[in-house]
Amino acid sequence: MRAPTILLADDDDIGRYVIATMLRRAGFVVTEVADGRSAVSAVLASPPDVAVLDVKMPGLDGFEACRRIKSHEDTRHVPVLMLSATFLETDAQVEGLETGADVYLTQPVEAPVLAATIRSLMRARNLETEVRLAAAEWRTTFDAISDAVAVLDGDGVVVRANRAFMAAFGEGVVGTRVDALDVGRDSGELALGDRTHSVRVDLVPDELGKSPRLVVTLSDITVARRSERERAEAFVREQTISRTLQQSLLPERLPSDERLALHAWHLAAEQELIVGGDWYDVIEADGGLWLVIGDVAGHGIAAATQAGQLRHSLRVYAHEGFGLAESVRRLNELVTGTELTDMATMCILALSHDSDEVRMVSAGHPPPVLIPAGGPPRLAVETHDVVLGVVGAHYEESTFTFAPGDRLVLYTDGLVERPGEMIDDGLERLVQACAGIEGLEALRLHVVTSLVGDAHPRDDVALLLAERQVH
Amino acid sequence: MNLPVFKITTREAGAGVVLVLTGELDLAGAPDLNEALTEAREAGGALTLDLSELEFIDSSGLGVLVRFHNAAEAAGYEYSVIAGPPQVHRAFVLSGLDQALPFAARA
Repeated sequence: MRAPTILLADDDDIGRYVIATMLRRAGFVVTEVADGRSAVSAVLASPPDVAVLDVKMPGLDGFEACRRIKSHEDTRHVPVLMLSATFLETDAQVEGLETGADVYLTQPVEAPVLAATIRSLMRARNLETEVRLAAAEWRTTFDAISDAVAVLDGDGVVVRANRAFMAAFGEGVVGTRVDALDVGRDSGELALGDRTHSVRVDLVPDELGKSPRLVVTLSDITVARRSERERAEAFVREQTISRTLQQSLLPERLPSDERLALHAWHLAAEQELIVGGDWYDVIEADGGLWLVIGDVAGHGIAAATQAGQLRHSLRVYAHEGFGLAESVRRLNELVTGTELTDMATMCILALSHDSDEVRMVSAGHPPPVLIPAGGPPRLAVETHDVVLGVVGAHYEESTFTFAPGDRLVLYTDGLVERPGEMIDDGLERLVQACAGIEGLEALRLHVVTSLVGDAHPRDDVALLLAERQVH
Repeated sequence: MNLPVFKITTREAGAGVVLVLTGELDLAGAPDLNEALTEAREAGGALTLDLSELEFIDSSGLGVLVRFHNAAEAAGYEYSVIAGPPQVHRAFVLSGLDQALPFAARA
């Protein structure tokens, strides 16, 4: 470490010699000048660690020299120690300190006192330098932050603001209240012009009983918001297309007949999910009606489109006179041959107006519930064939009795499936819910309320209910 | 809620591999399974698909198996499936896939 340097100014050669000797013995490097003007120019030319000035000098005295050192930008940080050969009145001491002198000592001064005083001045100077550097570093960092940052006092007045904050709120923002920040602090967001900012407020820990300060940080989130909005819009677009598609999947109205009452219902999945590939249909064929319910695996436009193809293809097969099992076999060929979809489930019931016998083909679809007029509800059949999608799958008809006064509930698995439970439990709940309710609409309402509740289900649900009228 | 993550573990077994499926297989896990199955089939060795540690399967998962089954049949590639726990196997029974897929006799 280099030896500390002292500039010593005294017009009295002997006095200067005594002080200079004391300082050199204490380890300081001393530069001597004999008048105030030389002192000022020496300090300016090469700022020492400490300047020691005698008060009484001809021409420029110590007070004036000190004033000039302290008023110059390059030298005001140099500590000044004033020495007086004689005791001065308090007024003079005050004058000395008011010129900016850091310490005032009266001669005769003892060597240890002088050296200790100078070292103390240097320590204070070093601390100040560190604080000044830290402040400069902090300021640079503060300004470099692209977020707009400000420190507010307890009343919301801006105490300090970085460059980005001033760019947003004006150069003169320090010392004023920014009302817009109050709004932002409540909502967490603030719009400035065409930009959107997130608002973050940090509390500076209370110190020495001062009212707490707040650090407010505004981050520009315009771009993030925009892409979020675009995603949401795209989502709504797909949802709209899917819903439209889904509507086209379902018959506009069901055939009405005094021999058979029908009621259908489609329940959309919860908002986050897009439509599923659930559909139902009623086809007039074979001197009776085919009741159809199906479900294509997956969600969204693809599933809805695939369901539409299956629905319309089945109508074509029915009108061309193909039987139940043959129609389903052809649908399976359509699915596997065109890779229309990986998998779909479907159930078709063929009802005849002049027979109690119902023919049914199920391609891996959950069994319909039969509610006999005079008995407890139950699953209509226990047997079924495999889902649509397996190459070469074989389908067979099964039959059961559907007498006047009996009712049937066809549904898709969204009604009975619950994560983490056996599907049989859901089927059991459905069968229970079908007991003791008259009519079709009331039954549907009760079933949906019991199994789904008020909320939108996780998956789409389609329901088709039928009742054979008594004559 | 901490949902069981779907995971596929590949184990060498003799001349082929066993794919052990764990966790919940739905739309999210379907692409991974599809890839693992295709890879195993293309490698040509014997394949056993072990569902015994699977906790849930939905129609997307079944769909992947159906698609794989069709491809395997077309290529004359033989594989076998070890059934899952009751709540998983029930999905195969209800969809009729318990009859269509080559389930190994239960040990």
